[in-house]
Amino acid sequence: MRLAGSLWVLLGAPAFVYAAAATVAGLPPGVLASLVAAYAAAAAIVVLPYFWPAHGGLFATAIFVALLLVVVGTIFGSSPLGSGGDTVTFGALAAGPLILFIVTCRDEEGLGTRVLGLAVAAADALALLAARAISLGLPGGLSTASLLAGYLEVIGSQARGVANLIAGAPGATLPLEAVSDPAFVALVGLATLATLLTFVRPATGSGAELPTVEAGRAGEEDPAATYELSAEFRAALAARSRAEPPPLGRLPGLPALLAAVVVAGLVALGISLAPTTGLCGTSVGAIAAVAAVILVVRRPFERGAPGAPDPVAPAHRAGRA
Amino acid sequence: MTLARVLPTPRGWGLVAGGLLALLVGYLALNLLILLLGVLVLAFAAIELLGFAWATRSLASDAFTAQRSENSSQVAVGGTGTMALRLDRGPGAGCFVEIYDRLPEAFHPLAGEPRLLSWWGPGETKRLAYAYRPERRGAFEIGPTILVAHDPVGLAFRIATVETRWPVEVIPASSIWRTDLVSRLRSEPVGEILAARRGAGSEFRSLREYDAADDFRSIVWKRSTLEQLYVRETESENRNDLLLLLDVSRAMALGVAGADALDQAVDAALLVARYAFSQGDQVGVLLFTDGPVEFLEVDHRLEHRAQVDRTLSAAAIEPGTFRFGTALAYLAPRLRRPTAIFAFTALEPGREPPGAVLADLRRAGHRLHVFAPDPAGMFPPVAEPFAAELVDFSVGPEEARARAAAEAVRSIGVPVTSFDRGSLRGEVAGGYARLRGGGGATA
Repeated sequence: MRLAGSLWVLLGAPAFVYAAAATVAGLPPGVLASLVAAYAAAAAIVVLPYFWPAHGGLFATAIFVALLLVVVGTIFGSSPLGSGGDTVTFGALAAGPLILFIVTCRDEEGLGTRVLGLAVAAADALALLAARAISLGLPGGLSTASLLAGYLEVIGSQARGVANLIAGAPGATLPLEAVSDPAFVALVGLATLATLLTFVRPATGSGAELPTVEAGRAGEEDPAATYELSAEFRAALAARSRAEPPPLGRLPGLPALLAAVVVAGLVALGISLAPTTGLCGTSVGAIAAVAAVILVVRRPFERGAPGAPDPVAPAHRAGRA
Repeated sequence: MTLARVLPTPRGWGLVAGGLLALLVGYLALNLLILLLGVLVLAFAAIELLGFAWATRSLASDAFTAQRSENSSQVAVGGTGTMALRLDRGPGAGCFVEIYDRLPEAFHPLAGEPRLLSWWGPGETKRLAYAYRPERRGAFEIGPTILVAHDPVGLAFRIATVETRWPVEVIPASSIWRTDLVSRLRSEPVGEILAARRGAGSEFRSLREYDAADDFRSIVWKRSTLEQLYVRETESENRNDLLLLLDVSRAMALGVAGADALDQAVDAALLVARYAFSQGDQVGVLLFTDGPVEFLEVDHRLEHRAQVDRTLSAAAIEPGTFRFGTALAYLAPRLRRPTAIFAFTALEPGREPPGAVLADLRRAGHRLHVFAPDPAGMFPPVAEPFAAELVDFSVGPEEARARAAAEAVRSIGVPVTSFDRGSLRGEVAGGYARLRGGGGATA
């Protein structure tokens, strides 16, 4: 994993580690140790291929298959580990959001994948926190078995609740709606910021960096020293333009980011004041935004331009026709 | 005014899709935190894309004025060409623009860059300057200049094309008519052969500017100044007409790229044409496959010399099969004086010119000399024995066919000279020397 990718993983990971820790807090130390081991095994699946390129992928796959067998076996009541299966299974589930975040936030992944990965990981972490709340109310109190049961209950209830809402049936229960841990919200905010940090270094669509600092002129090779060039051309060569940054105060993407924060604030306010209207308004706004984008990009060439241009450029195709 | 649409990049589409899907996850979770995450990302992507479209609405081809300078029109293969380009921009919002002066693939940038990626404010001027090295002979074009406005966070781009095409003629390296080359030529066997012409004419025609190929003794000192030398042009009593017939069919692509049979033929034809012009002879050119590709009548005027240069330099392989007889029949009515025809062609058995056509040529006093590539000699020697055997195996049949075809042409009284890599200039120079000396076979 490259350092650039590690930066937003480091900034985003605390939200999911916090969610796992908050979920299992209060369990006996022995169980916690097993959970940590399961968490480590799950994390190894992510980390091994990067640190051991030759055979890491194979080992990661083997660990993943083993964990999958335990989780599936435990959920269907025939765990190969017996009673320990609950602990391992819940450890794997607790590690799920972090693994998802790390896997989808790699440099190789597109921005859309990162955003989606973050949203799904956050929703999964919310399910863990909701599972703890349910687990505390179950007979026998907090245990890995009750946490696992709670988690499955959260997923099932949420699915049923959304289905009831769509069908217009009354009495929908939505366990994820009620979760509002301030620390978790703040940490997800940090993870979102980390994902958006991708934009800090302006780049073209092909990933080539855009100039943000003035290119230095000192120490450049003097072409005239190598090739026979006329004095006039040498003068033209010396006077050629260099890559220049935008004027000060024009931080690329900042106006759009500030506008987006304002929009998100308005949506939050709208949903808080009138949830149904706010949600409807959000839907209409989202559809309008996408329609506007599609209209702009599908707009025909203006004033008689001859056909679609060959999208030659992006910067990685430097210098050749 | 040509204004291209905004083209979102995969990154841009990805962010819109990611925002939408995150919003969907938010709707499924019905949790404000996840919903806001989706809203934030979708709003950011939409605002950035729409803002970019608005900011670059003035990016159109006619919003720019372009001016080229320090540009080479004729460059030798392996030589150095130069190009400077000044682009002025009209009003509009500033944006990151990638400026790319389109170079042919055969041109290698040496110094400077044909590309610039920079912030471009309204009313600003951008200058490109670069030197390049062409690696292939032919007629090329630099430009148009392509301008790509990039969204600063990489979500979209918009392209404008500025028509700045500039033709560049790339000639064979050995054909540059420079003083040092002329001196070198004269010290080489080829130069000696070429120099073995009979005396120049004595009948005064006009004065013209001194050229590196001119004999120093022909300078008219009384009319010359320190800045400009003039030479006396005379009508040569034995002025000859020379027609260079080049087969530009696929068969002349024999050999390695960049030094194939056609390249060798062009090199030798350019050399002999320039020397013939300098000696007062007239030269014409015919590029032919199964029909005429380009024909320049026999002439000696200055503008014609430049045209011969351009035509030969730009000669390229064309579709079709060379028809020798048709080419000669095409030429016969177009040659007004007895002319020496130097035909550069890959001979094929059964495709020799018909006797009737040759008889017509002979009656008109024309002389035909054929220069045909030797298939085996067109490839560099291979040191490894197995590879050499393989080359022999594949080229052998072609070699036999070429030999049989050459014999067939010789049998009808036309001299044929086979050439290999590097030998053609000498052979053509020999043929030209015989022509100047009044020798040579008659078709």
